[in-house]
Amino acid sequence: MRFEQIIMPTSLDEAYNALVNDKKSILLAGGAFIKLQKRNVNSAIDLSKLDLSYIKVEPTTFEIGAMTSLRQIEVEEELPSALKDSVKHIVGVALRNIATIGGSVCGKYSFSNLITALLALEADLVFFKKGKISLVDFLKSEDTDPDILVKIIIPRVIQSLYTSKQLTYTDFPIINMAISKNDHLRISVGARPMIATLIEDPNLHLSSKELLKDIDFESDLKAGEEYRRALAESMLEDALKEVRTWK
Amino acid sequence: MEITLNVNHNIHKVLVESDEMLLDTLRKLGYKSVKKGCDTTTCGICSVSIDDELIPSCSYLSYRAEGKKILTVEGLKEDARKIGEALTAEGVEQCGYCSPSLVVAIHTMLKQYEDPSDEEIKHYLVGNLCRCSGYEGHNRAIKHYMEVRHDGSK
Ligand SMILES: Cc1cc2nc3c(=O)[nH]c(=O)nc-3n(C[C@H](O)[C@H](O)[C@H](O)COP(=O)(O)OP(=O)(O)OC[C@H]3O[C@@H](n4cnc5c(N)ncnc54)[C@H](O)[C@@H]3O)c2cc1C
Ligand code: FES
Ligand code: FES
Repeated sequence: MRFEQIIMPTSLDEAYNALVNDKKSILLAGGAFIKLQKRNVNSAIDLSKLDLSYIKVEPTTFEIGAMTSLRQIEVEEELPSALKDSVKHIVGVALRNIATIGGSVCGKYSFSNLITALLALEADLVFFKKGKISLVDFLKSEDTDPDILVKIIIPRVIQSLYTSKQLTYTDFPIINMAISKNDHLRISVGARPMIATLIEDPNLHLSSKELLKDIDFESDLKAGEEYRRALAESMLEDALKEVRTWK
Repeated sequence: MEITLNVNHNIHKVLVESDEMLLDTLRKLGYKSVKKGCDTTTCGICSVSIDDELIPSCSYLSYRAEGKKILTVEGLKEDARKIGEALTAEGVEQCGYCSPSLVVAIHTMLKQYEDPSDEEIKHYLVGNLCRCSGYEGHNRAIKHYMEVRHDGSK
């Protein structure tokens, strides 16, 4: 992507006004994905001076600023394992030092490791204008009104896990999956290759095949539909063995 | 726009485009050890250290580096010599295209992990691709370097 000027707002108000006043502007987080896009815009609104890079460990929740890098998430001991493990295979340390959680969520990438984990962890998103909205609703929404993601809130969970299969250590996943346990169990399946989705009311007495029967899979260059389903079934079976040991 | 960059403790005032990447600026300034590979944040060949973090310079906007300490292999001198010798002794410095960024990556890794395990080394360096070597020799070279880095021996 090419852009003619950089705008460096120091308040969310300033950033939002710049965004709505110029239709040919874009919010710039880590910039890793933006760089790959073949587009020209007038201005890039750099979010790095808005103090949105933080992880707050609260008694019942974690609050993660939108500009927090994937590497910060990876090395923060307190965060749930599903979240930390979801970023570990994303390319390499260098990319994870620049790519952000906000850019990952707002990109709505269907292969996203992080979205799969956040969905299982029951994440809420806080936007500057639209306020709080659940990740589930955000993924379904077709609302294209410009807004700025400020932070992500996840409740503390008792246990969680993340697992994925990719053709090489750092490749895009061909299936990813996350499970979290609180007073209930949440299982999300992503890179189907469509974006992550939840298994409704998962019943641990069912087999992984039965649990996945209403989840759609499709084929793409990396894997066929049947292979993906078989892989997901086997991954879920393994994951459930661990889940059954959770207190 | 005019920005001021601190590269290997040298201060440069330089004119850059708003969307200019640090890789291009560093090469313009003569730091030719910084190479372009994939240009998509996939191969790690362009990595430099910024404030002791490993950063892909192909995807890092130059103006964002203002006020920070940039380190390339030209600034590493003694460390670079020792790591280079360890890589050569294991026969993994072949075309050499990946070596400058690998040296910087090893340097930043050892800033963050005092004595990294095999698993930590693999995990930290997996984003630094090498088309020639096969990586086992890299691991042996890194371990050898970790043994000799604090003394005057080779
Ligand atoms: C080579 C490569 C390989 C990758 N492989 C994987 C992988 O295997 N698995 C995986 O999960 N991810 C992968 N990713 C994606 C990566 O993890 C990030 O999700 C991606 O780079 C976007 O993060 P960013 O900070 O770079 O965002 P940017 O590129 O800066 O922005 C992405 C989009 O989000 C918008 N945006 C950013 N922040 C906000 C905000 N606060 N509010 C509103 N909109 C915002 C931007 O305007 C833009 O449209 C890969 C990326 C690259 C470049
Ligand atoms: S050239 Fe930057 S990561 Fe490949
Ligand atoms: S030695 Fe040739 S790419 Fe590594």
